[in-house]
Amino acid sequence: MTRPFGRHPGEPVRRGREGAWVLVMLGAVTLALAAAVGVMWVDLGRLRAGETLGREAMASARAVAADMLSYDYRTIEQDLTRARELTTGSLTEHYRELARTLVPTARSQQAVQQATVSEAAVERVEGERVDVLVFMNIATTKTLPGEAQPQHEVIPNRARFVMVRSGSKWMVAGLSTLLGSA
Amino acid sequence: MNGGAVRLAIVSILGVLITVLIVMAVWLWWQVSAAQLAADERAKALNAAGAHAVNLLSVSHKTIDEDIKRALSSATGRAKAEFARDSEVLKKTTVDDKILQTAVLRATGLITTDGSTARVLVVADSLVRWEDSEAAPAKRFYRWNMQVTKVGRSWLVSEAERVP
Repeated sequence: MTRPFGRHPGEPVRRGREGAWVLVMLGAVTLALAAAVGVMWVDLGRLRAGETLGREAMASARAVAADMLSYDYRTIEQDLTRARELTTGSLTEHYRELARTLVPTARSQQAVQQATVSEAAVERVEGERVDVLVFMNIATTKTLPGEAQPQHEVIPNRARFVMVRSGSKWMVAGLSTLLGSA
Repeated sequence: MNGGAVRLAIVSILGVLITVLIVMAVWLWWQVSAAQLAADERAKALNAAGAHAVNLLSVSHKTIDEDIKRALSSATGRAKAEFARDSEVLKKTTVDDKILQTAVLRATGLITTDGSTARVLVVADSLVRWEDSEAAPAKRFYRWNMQVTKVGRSWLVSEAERVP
């Protein structure tokens, strides 16, 4: 005997189980989609941040390059202190050491060095570390021992500034002349 | 509210949530794909500029015809025309002086890009030797500001200005 509109014995239990399965499946799909959205959201943030960080670091490197590489024998200690304050990590110690070795030489040669930035570009962005390639011209005036007249020279130069973000500021963590493996 | 009504409400909420998540996933996938493609294109533009710099500096009197052909193949537009114009002089000098010049790419950096062109800084150095000569090898240092243009699916150097 058929019962088209009636319930079979035990039918509510079966429907209840089916309903629970539907909820579990929908929940699983929701979680999977939410996870995928989360991963892609993070990925998009990373990709977009790379461009922004690159632009910021490039502008900072342009702004500090002259201060990092310029000095006047009359103010060299202040010049190197100012440069050192723009650095972080091992480069800070390098500038401390430079102050010990460069100051006597610069004073004895009455040396004046002025760096002028002509171009800058982003080499790579890795997290919050950005390598910036900087083209600059370095004008130097110095009087060598035994010579009456000072020497003037302008050297076209290139350097890699390794910029790292520290809070809201960009600091110089490395400086390479791009000669050999340096 | 009985059990059926509660279940229906939960299914409805999950349905709406799934719909919203699907729309977000599709939009994010599209955005991530576009951003990744742009990053890949930037890398290709940098590689093209670096490769052209190495091609310009890698010349030997033994393989000068192939060297010129290789440098022309990584250029287009004004850069290609200028190099083609100067290539006869380069060939004569390289062969006459028995030059063997090798190149090392030091760095490339991106200034700007609009997707179809990019402005790139390039640093490369070369070591020049003169075969059958007592002269010591000479190191030379180069800086370029290059414009790289997307031609089809490749990036080629369309301007190569030496930065003195």
